[in-house]
Amino acid sequence: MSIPGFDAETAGNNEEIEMQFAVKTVEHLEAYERLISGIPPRNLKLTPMDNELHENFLSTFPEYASPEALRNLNEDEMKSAKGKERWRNFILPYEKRLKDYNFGTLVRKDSDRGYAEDNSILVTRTQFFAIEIARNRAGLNDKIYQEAQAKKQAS
Amino acid sequence: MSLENLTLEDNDGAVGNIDIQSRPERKARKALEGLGLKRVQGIQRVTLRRPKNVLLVVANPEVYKAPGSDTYIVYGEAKLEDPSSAAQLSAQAQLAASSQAAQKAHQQGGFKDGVPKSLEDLMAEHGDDDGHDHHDHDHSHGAGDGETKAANSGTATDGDSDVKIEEEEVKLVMAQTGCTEEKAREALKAEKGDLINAIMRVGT
Repeated sequence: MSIPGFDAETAGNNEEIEMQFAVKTVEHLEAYERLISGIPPRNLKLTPMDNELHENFLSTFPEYASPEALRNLNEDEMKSAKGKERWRNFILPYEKRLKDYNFGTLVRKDSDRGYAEDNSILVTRTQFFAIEIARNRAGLNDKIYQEAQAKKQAS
Repeated sequence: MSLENLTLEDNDGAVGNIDIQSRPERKARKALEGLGLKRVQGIQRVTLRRPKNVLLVVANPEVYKAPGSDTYIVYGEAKLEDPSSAAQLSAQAQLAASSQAAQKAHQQGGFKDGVPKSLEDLMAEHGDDDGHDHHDHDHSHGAGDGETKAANSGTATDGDSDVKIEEEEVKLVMAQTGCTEEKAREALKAEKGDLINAIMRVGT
């Protein structure tokens, strides 16, 4: 059962498998967007260990205590060599405890806006949780929620 | 299905091999697990043909299919098999073994009940056996995703598998997806209390 035209030496990653990852990622962001549009984000609980994650996040990354840093993520800093190192140390302890802890996940760069091509950063699931839990608690996602609710009422 | 797969010893050895997972394999499995791959049952051998008549054979593979596409993922140890010499050799050994067994059986007064009588019986038995193996594997793979992870990673804490599911979250999942309470609870349990994943699980 040889496959014509297939050369194992030059084959790259299978596109269809890559697609499956992309599909999962998009499903995830859609589910999350529905959530924050549907219920007040302040009360949202994403994982069984939100509190712990949040505390650890703020003590590891004190700079995110300011709403401004949370509202508008600095991708360059997050993905600089130093930033990556810090995040990696933050993420690793959750390897065994958080499901899909390093699954690629899209997070909104600017929390005032919804998901869009120019407003998405690819991060790990743990990073996503840390950032979004902090945003929800700081009330930064309220805007999205209110806009969605206003739209709902208008229609 | 070929002759050399019929011996039960072969089977046992391979099953032993499957249990030992190398670190990269575990990583790859974990990464791919998230895609909702469907296990393909009843596959006993996968062969990959390379140029110059070189065959790579995976005996007792674990085969998964990516839903919605023609992609298969095969786990198992690939062994080189030169069809011209190796197959002949093993076929000969097989023949010798089976004729020996037959002689022995004859000496002991013919075939008794419970002893496989024909190739068909052998195959049926083997098939049964295989079914059991797969079944076991299914348990460790499908039944509780959470538990699988714990087992795979070895050192994970046991407490993770029985996450407390809060009523509020069950209601949230129900409200978001319009499913029954039971389904919502199940999904939350399977996703270890991860709200977004649970909603995705119900949705698909």
